[in-house]
Amino acid sequence: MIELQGFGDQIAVGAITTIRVATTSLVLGIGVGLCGAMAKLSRFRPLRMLADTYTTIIRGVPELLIILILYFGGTVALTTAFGRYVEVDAFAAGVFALTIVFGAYATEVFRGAIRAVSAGQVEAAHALGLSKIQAWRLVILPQMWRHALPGIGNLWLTLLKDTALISVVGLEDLMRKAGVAAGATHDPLTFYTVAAGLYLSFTSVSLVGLTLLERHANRGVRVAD
Amino acid sequence: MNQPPIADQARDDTTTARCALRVAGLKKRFGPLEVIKGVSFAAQRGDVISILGSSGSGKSTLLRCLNFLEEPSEGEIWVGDQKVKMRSGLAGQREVNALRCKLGMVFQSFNLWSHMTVLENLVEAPIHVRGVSKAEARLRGEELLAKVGLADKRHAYPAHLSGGQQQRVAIARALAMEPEILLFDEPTSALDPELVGEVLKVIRALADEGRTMLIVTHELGFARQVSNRVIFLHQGRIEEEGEPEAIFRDPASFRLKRFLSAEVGELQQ
Repeated sequence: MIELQGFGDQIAVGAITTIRVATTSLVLGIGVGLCGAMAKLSRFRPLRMLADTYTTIIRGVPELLIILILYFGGTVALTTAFGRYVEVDAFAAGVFALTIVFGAYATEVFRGAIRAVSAGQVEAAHALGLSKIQAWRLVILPQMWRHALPGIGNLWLTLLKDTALISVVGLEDLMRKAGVAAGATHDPLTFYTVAAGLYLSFTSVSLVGLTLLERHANRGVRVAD
Repeated sequence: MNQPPIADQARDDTTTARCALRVAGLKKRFGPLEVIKGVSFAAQRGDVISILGSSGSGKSTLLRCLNFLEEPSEGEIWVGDQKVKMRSGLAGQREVNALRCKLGMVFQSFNLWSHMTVLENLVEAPIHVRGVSKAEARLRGEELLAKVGLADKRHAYPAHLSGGQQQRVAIARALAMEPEILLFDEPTSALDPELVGEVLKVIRALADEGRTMLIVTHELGFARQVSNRVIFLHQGRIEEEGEPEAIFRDPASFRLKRFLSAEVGELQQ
């Protein structure tokens, strides 16, 4: 058994924080990605340009910089707005930054996936009198998932690991807890290995979940067995 | 509502009571290209009208204009005694959706929703558009599947059915909305030859029920047997129309003669 020298509880708390940041950002980021994709496919030109600007900037700047700019920029903005010093909550800032980053990449994944749904499937919905919203809900979104899942799965794994970046603004996540323990015990190898093992176990469980989701999304599609 | 003068109303009562669909001066342009150049015709209740024409004659576009899958550029459409108002925005969208409920459409490539089972394909639109209860929609769906001979396939996904079976499901799906008129857009063109018969049999049974139908088709023999009227389109205009026996035995226009001999020639090859 690995000797954690009393830091076991701290590591566990950090791991839970990591999972909370990642899953919250995933859910919000999927929402942002769907909105972004719809904006990019919109007939309304200003909306398309807005979405293009968003994905160009976010995908073109290192994630670490985005996190720092949003954290310190947010502190400055809130302090100015309220007229007194306001400290930005590290969890909220982290979720916000990761959502923005995940959403930009997800926008592109969803855009491609929506375009992969064949026009005939949507025409059938319209011909039966379904409204545009109903056609989205009943036909386009469910069919789009099949095309989007591999890409979104990749993004999720990246997101899960990118949570480690949030530790730079003081979030007490798995990465930071491991770092603190490593410093206090002068045994960095043990704690960083434990952290790596935990990240690996999270991603492995995710991969199993993704396989199951893909199997569900592929229902009704004939694939070579 | 504007009341027409008494005399007109009396006349309308006799004509509109039987008139299922009336199209007047329909035009459709794609940019500078005019595909439908002013088409007018009427279908009485129980009419089965075959629409023939070579590719590019505009026959599919004409059908798609009727339920606004393509928005007509000009012209008027009446379904029963109601004129379809061409409005923009949300009101226009509602008007179009209401129109589409009255016109059932069957596509060349079936377009069954691939992520739903056969029965789910049949119940979604009645539940969400017509507000039918789930239980009722399922019951009606199963009846319709039995009618097209596919009751045992209700839990199968479309990809596991043959083309002929998929098209029969698509017909059942259109029927589930209880439309006043059925539109068929080359319903057998995507099928292997040995599967064409089973689909035509279903369509023929619907004709025998007295349903009003418009069928864009290349199956001349079928058009001749099943329809009571044939419209021949050429370059976006009605070149010739009439009863099938007359049209096929003694086509008046040169173009229809050429079209018929080319199609028959192809069959003999």
